[in-house]
Amino acid sequence: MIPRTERADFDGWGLPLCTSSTIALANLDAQIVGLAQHYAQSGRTDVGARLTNGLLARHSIAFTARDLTAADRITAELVGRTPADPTAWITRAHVTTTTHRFAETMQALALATHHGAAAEAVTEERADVLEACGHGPAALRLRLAHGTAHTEPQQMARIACLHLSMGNDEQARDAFGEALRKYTNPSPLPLTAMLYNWGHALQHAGQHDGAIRAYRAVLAYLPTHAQALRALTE
Amino acid sequence: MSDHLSSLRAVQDPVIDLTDLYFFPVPDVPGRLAVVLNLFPGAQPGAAFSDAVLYRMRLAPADIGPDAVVRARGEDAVAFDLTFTDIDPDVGDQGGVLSYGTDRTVTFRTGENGVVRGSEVTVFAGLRRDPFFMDVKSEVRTRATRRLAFTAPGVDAVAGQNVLSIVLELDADAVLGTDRSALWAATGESLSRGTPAARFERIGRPEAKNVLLSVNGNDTVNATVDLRDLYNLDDPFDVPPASMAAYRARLDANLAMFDQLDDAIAWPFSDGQHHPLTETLLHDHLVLDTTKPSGEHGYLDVERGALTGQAHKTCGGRWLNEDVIDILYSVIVGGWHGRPVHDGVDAAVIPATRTFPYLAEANPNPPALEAGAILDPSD
Repeated sequence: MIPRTERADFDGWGLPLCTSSTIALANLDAQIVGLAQHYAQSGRTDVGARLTNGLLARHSIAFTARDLTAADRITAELVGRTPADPTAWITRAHVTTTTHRFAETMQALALATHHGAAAEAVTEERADVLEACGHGPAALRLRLAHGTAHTEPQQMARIACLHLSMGNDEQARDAFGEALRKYTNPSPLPLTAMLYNWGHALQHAGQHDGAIRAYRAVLAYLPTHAQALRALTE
Repeated sequence: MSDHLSSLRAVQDPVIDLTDLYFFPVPDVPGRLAVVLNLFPGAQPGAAFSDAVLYRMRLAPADIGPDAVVRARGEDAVAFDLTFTDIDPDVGDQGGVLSYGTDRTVTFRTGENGVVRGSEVTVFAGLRRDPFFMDVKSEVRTRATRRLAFTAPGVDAVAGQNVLSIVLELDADAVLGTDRSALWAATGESLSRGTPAARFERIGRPEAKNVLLSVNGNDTVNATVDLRDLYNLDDPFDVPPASMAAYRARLDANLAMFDQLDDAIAWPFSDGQHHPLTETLLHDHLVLDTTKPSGEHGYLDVERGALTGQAHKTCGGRWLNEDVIDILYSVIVGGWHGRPVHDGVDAAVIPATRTFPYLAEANPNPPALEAGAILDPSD
């Protein structure tokens, strides 16, 4: 059994105590099962969107193709059934970004905007696309200009990663440290996403020792995190 | 929807999302009291308590002040702290520890087989039916349109849902003392077990956050601020004055709006500035008269007695099957003796029983919870 993480030191930052991997993943599995049943019965867009987000959350940990395939199928259904619902298009964009189909993402975002999607949601997705395509400075400018929740730990961590990719190490560390300090949620899922992305950014910046420490921190919370495990064996 | 999904932080992680608190004398067993703290809205079979969260219920003696407001003496509160272990991989349940008083602990396991029955305290924790019931969409529409939008019958948004439930039954003399106050106030909290220390949620009366403190465009002091996450950070028995001022402004504004839903004024502002219910509701806890026998209708009765000067006749508190939405809306729209308001949903699909652990067995196939309307400000 991997020891629980309570204010464990990570590069000088304290990490919070979070719900165990077993409980967090069991609760996520249970929620997905319930949402899947309800979506099958009702076909409702809001339920489909929540189910998709659950599947993507599980995919980010287990990295199983089945969850991603299901999310792709569900969002295709959503935009087909309710083409005037911006939630359907935003959710669709989230899936196509995850699968690196950026042209589809931009098309989905255009339709989301046309149907009245909130500007913040569209901006977030556009920034994700820019980041994935290697346009870090543009993504950072977009996030800083339009982001509405820079005080949220996850947002701050994303900005930190962008700073790192641009060589702004000091700003990156400041932002990431602040993100960790503000993290009080007992769920390990957003935290491990923050730590994994930080590790990924460090790896790309050639800071391999730091990346390894970040991936190990991910595994202290979620020992089955497939991408962190793979990154450590590469 | 009572306290379900009552903050953005709670929505991110349902294991900290407290849904309801109940406080009542045990039916047919004089001298014993029960406290029920529910959490995890829309819990599915397999849902588990967090092992990183401290679930706390506090009971504090209470007094009626010269201003007719019931206040808890937080410094004399008795805390009941519950923590849980990781899931047992062989059995699938969790271990739990209840700590109370200065040095008393009870170990138990989740589920019906894990109940520990003691002369002082009996404890259950596990998945059960959510006893709450309410037509959420009509309530949201009421606030959005500023007209009573309930229908007969209504649509129960919680029908068939489950929650994780913690049920305590306690011997009042042994746990609260024999020379105790008649009135006791109850609150529930979910807190961080680690550092940094954080209070994730607090709960007292149903709908304190989702309805009474909601953003409706009435509050000109904090016109668009969702106060619920701030509210959750506060110690319910020691709310900072600055926070209190923000909640007071919001309550005054919203209560004035509710009062006008029937085109009649039942609650003229007592001093020209504040709604007569505001100060009472700011002290957000359930109030029970421990000297009175159990009853199925007592919600807000102690507060009513204090404010009207006509002593309460029931035990107060909150029984599991009480129609608190009808009671709340009737009071805030029409006053203590106005025409009753009904939301068209009068009972849970399977009501709670009169025997421990009271809440009905979990639904093996619960529907998904409808979240959208609760999360969005209604203006």
